[in-house]
Amino acid sequence: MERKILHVDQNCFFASVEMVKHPELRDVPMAVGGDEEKRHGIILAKNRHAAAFGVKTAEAIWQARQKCPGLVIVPAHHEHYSFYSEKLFDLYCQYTDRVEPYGLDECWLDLTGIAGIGDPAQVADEIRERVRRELHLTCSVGVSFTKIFAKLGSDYKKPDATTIISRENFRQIAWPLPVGDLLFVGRATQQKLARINIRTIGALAAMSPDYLRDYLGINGVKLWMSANGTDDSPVAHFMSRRTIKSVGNSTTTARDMMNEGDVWQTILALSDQVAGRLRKKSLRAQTIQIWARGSDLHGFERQKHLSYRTDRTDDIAKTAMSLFRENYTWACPVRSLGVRTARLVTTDEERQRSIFDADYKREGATEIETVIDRIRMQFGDVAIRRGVQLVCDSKLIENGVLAQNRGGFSSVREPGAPSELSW
Amino acid sequence: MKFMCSRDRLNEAISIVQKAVSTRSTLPILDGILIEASVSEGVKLTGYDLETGIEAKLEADIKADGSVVINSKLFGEIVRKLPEEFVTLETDDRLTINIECGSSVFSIKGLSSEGYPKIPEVQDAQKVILMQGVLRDMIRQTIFAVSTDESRPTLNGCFFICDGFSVEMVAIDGFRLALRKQAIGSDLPVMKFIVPGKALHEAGRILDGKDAELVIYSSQNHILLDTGKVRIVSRLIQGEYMNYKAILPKSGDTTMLVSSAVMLSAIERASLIILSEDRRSPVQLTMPNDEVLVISASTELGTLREEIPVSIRGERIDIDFNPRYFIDALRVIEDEEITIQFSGSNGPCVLKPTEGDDFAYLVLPLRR
Repeated sequence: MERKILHVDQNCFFASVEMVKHPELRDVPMAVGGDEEKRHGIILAKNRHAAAFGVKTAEAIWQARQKCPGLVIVPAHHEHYSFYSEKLFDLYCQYTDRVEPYGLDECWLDLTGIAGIGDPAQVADEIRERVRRELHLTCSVGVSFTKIFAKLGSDYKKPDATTIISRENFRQIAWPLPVGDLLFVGRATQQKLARINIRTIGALAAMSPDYLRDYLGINGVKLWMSANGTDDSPVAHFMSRRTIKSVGNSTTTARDMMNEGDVWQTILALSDQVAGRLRKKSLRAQTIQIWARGSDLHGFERQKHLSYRTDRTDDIAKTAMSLFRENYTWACPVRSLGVRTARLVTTDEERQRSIFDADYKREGATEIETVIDRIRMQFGDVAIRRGVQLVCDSKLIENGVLAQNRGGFSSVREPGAPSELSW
Repeated sequence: MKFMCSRDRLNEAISIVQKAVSTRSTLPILDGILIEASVSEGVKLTGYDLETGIEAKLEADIKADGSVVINSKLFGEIVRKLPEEFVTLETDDRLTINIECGSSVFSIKGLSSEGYPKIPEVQDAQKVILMQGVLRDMIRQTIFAVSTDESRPTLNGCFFICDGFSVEMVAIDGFRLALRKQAIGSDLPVMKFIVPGKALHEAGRILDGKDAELVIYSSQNHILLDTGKVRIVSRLIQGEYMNYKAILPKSGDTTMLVSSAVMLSAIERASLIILSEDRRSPVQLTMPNDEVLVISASTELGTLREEIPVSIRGERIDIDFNPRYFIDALRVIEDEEITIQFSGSNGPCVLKPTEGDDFAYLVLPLRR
């Protein structure tokens, strides 16, 4: 049976979401960028007015400004992008359960064998129409019989367009395109192919697969199949994407951390955010990992398995701190720190009763953490903080948190603070 | 060293000792098999990964004493592919091993046996004699519940208890418990120790001959299983084993009689729609009346509902389980009819024989 695969690609997703939130940005050149002061200043996404000036994704903001003097730079709001991404996937899942995400803003849909689905191109147009009407975003859709060609189709015409690459027309549409447009042909492969004079997808398709195997290994054969429309990689089931292996966060502070107090404040802020994300995703972790890098750029990574699972800031921060103390020799100040949690289980899986249930005294988040989560959800991450974070050096952790969304005004001191470190 | 032997016997001995040869060791000599030949004691092959050691005797016609260590993987593959049944092994003074069979002659570099670690002697040992088949079954019936979670090392093995009359083996992985008890005789030594799961797993694959005897020797730190032909030595796990008797409920609120085969196949059918990596979706057991147990499961793939005949006494309950835990236990139970004892919808459930105490499989449910 001929497969009916759609690839949906949101047009300049981050920038589009910002324009939904701030309609006044629709008519001016704008881009989503990192924070220049912290030297994270690159363009993450831009709207079409900015693109007209030649602004490119991933270039430095100062370069973009030279091309486009009036460029409006908006800071990234990843929580908004995740929110819209979830809405989009909910919409796709109304058509099929075989929905394979490829990042936040792209995905494949397999409509093969779905009853009453009809012409996949009509479904593509309907999805575009609904995304526009319900979420005020635009997307491009490729319709084809393989994942690779569907992806090629969604890149073919932008914005807000449907491109059909069929068995009848793929030679006319796909083969003249540069070989670099093919998924999985990166810069290195492209250079290698150019050396044997392969510059278009059609030229790749015309090669002998045996020769490509010798030249590029098994990937050569896979690319050859991709170019000929014979690759049969399946669209994964939507549920299979849901396994999260680890949740972590790291930071390079604006000034180096000079002592354990500095490190503790950073670890606490990182752990607070990691624990919050675990709770939001209903996960608990059994392994706590840290990595640290000194100002000499040498780093180490260590981990510890707990005998219980946790989603609590306290547990994560204290374990991370003891790992740090046991392993850092203070030959130089600390430049970057990361806290990561792994061996995750969903709180659903935690339903399995254990003989050691009595040992698991910590049944997930404390009441105070649940309240903190709710306050933060409503008023933003800085609405409520630990006392130690109020007096924290802003060169380490700004306002005691690492996230971007600021706002709010109150704070709380948590009872039961350990004596050796201030909370 | 020089001896002649049968290719098939040699192959057999190699595959036995290979179970204890480490695959990724930091010491190259541990990737090898120690071959020792002496006219008085015969030929002996040894594999040892510093935790489990296995020795196998080999019938051979010995011409000259000696010993050498040879890479296990290579040796095994060579012997498997030898053209004829009769093999001659000979080492020269530079430890090159010549393996001669039919018209083919391999010359392989060996290592000196001097660097090979000694398998510990099991001294001041107590001993129990068992039938090989009995121990093999007891291993099979408990080993699946041995924990692999390294944060509780004592649970990484089977607890072996001899009370003077019977032998009992217990395994616990935190979510379930498996217990097998076998009456052996009288006047046996009283002893208890924890054997690493890995050693038992290998032993289970080596033991055969239902009617052949096996001697178990145990000392403070080690256990030796001796079949006469094969000796398996393992270190013991040190530490206090969990008080498993406290976990096993004395009685339950609900007692159910059921055919183990009928229950097994129904739960296996239910597990077809529960993806193995999905530990969230349970199989649900409900009791609409005292004669019927409803087994049901529901996932993204679909649903199953099945009724099986049972006989229930006591409170009727509604409970969720990981089907894997039931399947593992039911597969190794040999009794046609069993008793399942429940303790409410959140309490443990125990699979037991209708009479006696030869086995007990405790399974904990999923919280509602």
